[in-house]
Amino acid sequence: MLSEDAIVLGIETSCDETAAACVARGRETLSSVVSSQIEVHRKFGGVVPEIASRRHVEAIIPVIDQALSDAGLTLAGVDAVAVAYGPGLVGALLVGLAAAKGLAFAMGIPMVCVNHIEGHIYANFLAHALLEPPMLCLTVSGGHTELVAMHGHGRYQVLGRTRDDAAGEAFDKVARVMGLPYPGGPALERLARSGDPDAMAFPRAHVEGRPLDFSFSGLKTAVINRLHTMEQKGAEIDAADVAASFQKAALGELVSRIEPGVRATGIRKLAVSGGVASNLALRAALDELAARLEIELFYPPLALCTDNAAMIASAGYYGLAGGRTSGLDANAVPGARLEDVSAALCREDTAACRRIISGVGASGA
Amino acid sequence: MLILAMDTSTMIGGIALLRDGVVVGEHILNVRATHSERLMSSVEALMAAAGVCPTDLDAMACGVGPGSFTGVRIGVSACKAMAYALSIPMVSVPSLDALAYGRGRGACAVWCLIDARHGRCYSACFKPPESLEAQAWALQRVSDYAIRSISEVCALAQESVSASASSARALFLGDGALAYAESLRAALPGAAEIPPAPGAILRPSQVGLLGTDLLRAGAVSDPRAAVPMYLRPSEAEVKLAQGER
Repeated sequence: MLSEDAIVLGIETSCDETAAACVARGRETLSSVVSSQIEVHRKFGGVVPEIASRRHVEAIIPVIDQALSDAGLTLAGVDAVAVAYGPGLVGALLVGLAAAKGLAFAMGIPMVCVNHIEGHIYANFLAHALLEPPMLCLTVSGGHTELVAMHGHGRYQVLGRTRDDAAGEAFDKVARVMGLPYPGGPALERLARSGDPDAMAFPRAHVEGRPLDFSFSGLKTAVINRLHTMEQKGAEIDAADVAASFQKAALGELVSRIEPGVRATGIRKLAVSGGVASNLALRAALDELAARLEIELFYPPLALCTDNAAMIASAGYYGLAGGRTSGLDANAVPGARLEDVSAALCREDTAACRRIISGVGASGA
Repeated sequence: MLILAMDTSTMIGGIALLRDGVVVGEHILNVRATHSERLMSSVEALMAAAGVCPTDLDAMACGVGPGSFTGVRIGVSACKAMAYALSIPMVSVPSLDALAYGRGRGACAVWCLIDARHGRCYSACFKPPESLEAQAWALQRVSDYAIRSISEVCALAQESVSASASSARALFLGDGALAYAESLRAALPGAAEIPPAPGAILRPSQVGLLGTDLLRAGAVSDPRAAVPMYLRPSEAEVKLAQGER
């Protein structure tokens, strides 16, 4: 049984950051080390899985070592290891998972596998000491777009998720076509600040039968087609206007799912996380919505929005506290779903809630 | 000196426990389950069966490939983490050298071949000692480590056979030897020796035995820095280089 004061070592290698962190009591970040590979992948215009995996093998022990020394600890002072097992790049995940098993077995301490999206959600617990579920969670990054009702620790109900591209992925791909520097999302956001968001209208997606789900590929394609058409006609392209108009449409898509989510669950707290949570235009739009709906809004600090291991350690602590541990035969699951974490069906998955998220008999959703 | 050895460079892979150069136990599986699922469970089971615990270990020996990129990374990452956690030395053992360890007496050449698919193998050629009384079991490598097409391997093996006595034969080992046995036998009629599977595959105990020799000779890898032997860049790097040319 894990003591309340337990220190958890978190390990995260799901994409292109090798990260390790020490977290006490599930909430206090003692150290958080992130070794980024952005420079390595820049010349390829995106993350190359094989190269990312190779870099993880090189970085994994130095990063763990740094996280321990930053926390003033040795492994003997660590009570458990938490590791991201998915979703993510399988070859990359396997490096962190193998290292976590090696450490846990050698030290005779428990290991717990954490869903990467669950980790993003827990970034908010590191930042807000008194935050407790139930809460709605919007996790938006280059790999994920999920709206989740978190009813308790480890109890997740996915209200909506993207059917195709993640929101951040659409940002990156549009940015790439526009010739913006890698990584494209943040560059596109900067460009959009000087553009007119109403210069062009782009289509909004609606997922038939799942009104809380997201879809960004149609929007992405519409923007790219518009750019190509203008190019062919030799028309002057105001890149800032395109960026601002695309961003408005994409963020509008994200924000529009919150109100029905609040109505479906009656939950009045919203915790936002993931790399796109650092987008200031998204924050402004959510601030406005939260004020109108009179709900509480939470963000992690910027350093905890992107991939890190402190969030994995925090989620791992609560998982262990709830009796979750993983065996040495655990495998990486590139398409891991949050639902797999919730062992039992959430009791809160009521008929009324199901009606709203499935769009049956729901008005205005 | 208690050593835990592992090799996950091919689908057949596993672990071995050695005390002072004597094999205590070996655990090999040839199954579809990934090394991620089976490696550390095997370690736990074998160590329990041998009645030893992690803190009893004095060193780790790791087969670092070449082989399956993902497979070898699983073994190398786990091995690094254990060596780091236990503050014990780790020795990186090239899997092709381990495959040749203790084999090939009487052959003119030993070709170690790990299947790299599409008619190619990760390969190296070793020269067994001429004297049957030689005490050293580690074979001297006489080629570079390289990816070779099976026809290149055949041509090189033909050269060494024809340069030797009329009864000379070459020994082929590894899953590549089994996969391309027909081509090898056709290229070297009567001179290609390919043992049946149990004798042709890499045994984790060979990684442990060669690792013991290397440790005794003072070879130690820093677990912080140890990396697999890939022998080729990623496809993305190859394509980028071709585009730049």
